[in-house]
Amino acid sequence: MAQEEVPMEWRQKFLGARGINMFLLATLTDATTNPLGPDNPLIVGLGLLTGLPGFGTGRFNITALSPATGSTPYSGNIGDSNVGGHVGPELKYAGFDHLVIRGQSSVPVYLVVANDNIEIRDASHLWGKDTWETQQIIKRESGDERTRVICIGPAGENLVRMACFITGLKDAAGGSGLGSVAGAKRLKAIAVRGTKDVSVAYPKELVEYFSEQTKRLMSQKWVKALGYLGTPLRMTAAKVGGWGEAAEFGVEGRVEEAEGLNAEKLLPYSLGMSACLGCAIHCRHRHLIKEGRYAGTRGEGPEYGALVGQGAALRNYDIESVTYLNDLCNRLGMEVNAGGMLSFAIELFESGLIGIEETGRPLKWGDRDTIEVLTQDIAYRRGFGDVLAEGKFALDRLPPEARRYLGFIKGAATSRREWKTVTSFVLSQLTASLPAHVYRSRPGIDILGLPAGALKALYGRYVDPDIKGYQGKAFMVWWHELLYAICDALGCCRFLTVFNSPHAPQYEEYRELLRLTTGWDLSIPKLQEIAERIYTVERLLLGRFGVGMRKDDRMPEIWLEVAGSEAAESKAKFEELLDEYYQLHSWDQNGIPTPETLERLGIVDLASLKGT
Amino acid sequence: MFHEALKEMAITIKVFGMLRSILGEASLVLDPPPATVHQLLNELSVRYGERVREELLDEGGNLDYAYGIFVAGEKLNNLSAKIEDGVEVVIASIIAGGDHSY
Ligand code: SF4
Repeated sequence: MAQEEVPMEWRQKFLGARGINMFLLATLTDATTNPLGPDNPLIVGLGLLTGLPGFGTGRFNITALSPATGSTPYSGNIGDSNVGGHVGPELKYAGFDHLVIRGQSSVPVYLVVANDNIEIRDASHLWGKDTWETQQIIKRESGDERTRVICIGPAGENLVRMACFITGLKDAAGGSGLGSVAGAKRLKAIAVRGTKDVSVAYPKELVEYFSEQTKRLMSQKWVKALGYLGTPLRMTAAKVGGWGEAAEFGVEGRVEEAEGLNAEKLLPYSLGMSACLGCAIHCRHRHLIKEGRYAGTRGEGPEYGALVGQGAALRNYDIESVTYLNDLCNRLGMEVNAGGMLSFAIELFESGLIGIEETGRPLKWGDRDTIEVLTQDIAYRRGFGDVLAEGKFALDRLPPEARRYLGFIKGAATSRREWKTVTSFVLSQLTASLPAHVYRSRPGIDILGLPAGALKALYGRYVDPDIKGYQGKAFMVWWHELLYAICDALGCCRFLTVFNSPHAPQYEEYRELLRLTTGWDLSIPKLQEIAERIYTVERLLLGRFGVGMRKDDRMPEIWLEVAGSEAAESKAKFEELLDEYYQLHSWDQNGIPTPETLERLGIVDLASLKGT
Repeated sequence: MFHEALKEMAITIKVFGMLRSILGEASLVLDPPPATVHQLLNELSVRYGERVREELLDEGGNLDYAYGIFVAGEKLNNLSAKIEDGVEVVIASIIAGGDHSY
């Protein structure tokens, strides 16, 4: 075990969290690194401001090669996850900014990080336990209730490719199957306790600035709405605004029933809202179901993603069942809907491509009992669950026609249900540096219906206010890519930047926070250059895995099928958007960063690394 | 006959998000119907108090971006926007947050 100072050069080039993590990922891996092998580094990285007063600064990133989106079960792809809660700040108070975990243990272990010290402990007694039990046991054993834990559940242990980390009741580092990377290392958990001071450049002014900004935020209506109903609010807004995914609306004949998943339906179960450390918003419900079949269900959420994933996408409109399944996935340490594999399986069964011989039971839309059993079966790799636990590689064990039900963006599977009607959302998903990721660069505010003047004031140029329009949308995606890269590198929450509101904090506020904490006075162009560097390193990584070119930024066939008669026009328009998008990044016409760009960003060395 | 005709002109308002907690209602009928968003806000403020206007308008007196007022999926972006008789109006808090891939 070795400890080193984070070099100042890394800080200046990448700030922290996602930025430094990506630099490390690029230098510590190559195209042959097996994501489930010992050489895949599991990198935990705090933002430069994580744990300090700021805008949702409870957040940090976990990065490694993803075992879910590579071209074969043994090859990786870029993997990254931004997570909140309390464990990141605790790590800061323990004196660490980044952890790089390499190798593989022969027995289950967990890490105990406390004030400048790291210890590896036996975790045999924790292996097999769910994420909630694991955290409780570690806390009890530490004798300190304030110990914070991030861990994997049975899904990660069993190398399920949709496994995530969980901290607290629901904060998940998901989306890249990183829980299985930990499982392969037999790393059950990281427990952290820190009581060290963190010094900042201007403490008094920082506290004053923080309270003034918090007060400003708390007076804004979007903050109040998010703090009252959380992300489930999106269910209704997406329906009435026509910018949602088809699944949200409820399938034909069951539209009224789907109203059962509206945000307001959660209120009877809500015990109040909770938050990541230091966040003014409090965007998630603490819930308790008191009566009925799911009586005693107590946890956090469900978020919008779970309402769709465990609900609408499975035609399960029973909000109590969705809430229960949300907690079940969190306990198992697995993405809701097993990352889409449940809907995929039911679709195959209903279409007659697979039958009871394969699945062992009928799979029906909306059958909450089967959904529950299948969720468990995937996490424990039982029966047909073992096939689905392989994520997209399940296709190797399914009839060839099953391929028609999935599309791929840079190696990540996507379904018809994911088709969206918002141009900027589609472009952001196609170009995202994390394959097919819906959040990497989503210009959230595009769907607020802002007038052209307000968009111009924000972006400094014309952007079509119509969500289906094309003009300015490439710029919009590029602009948000950069903003979010900085937001992540600082350890701030996306919800507290220009995502839900044009009035949310952004560059100016970040500049001031940076000045007060580090004493650095970085201009906005300088911050954008750092963001551009981070995004370009990610593009190089994609290139290393064969998915970082124009051909990889195009719509999958199944989306074009949904687009129907508009497909031809969309295709042509998206090609134009890509031209503009590459120019903004100073990449070539094929979407590859040019030598001049790499030179300007000071990352020529990374481009020449093996396999890139 | 006259009464029936009037009824057809009434508009229904469905309320979601924060405003529902303020009004304490999920849906209501306005009869006679307001002709513009401005009149709609006036009518709601008469019924439920000034809080409605405070909630739906920003400091500059424009519709706050945190809300969407929709008719048949079309967002009404300013106070002078017309509201046709007999339609269903939806007023909802809008956020972009939360997502999925399924
Ligand atoms: S907005 Fe929600 S997710 Fe973001 S920091 Fe606050 S509580 Fe956490």
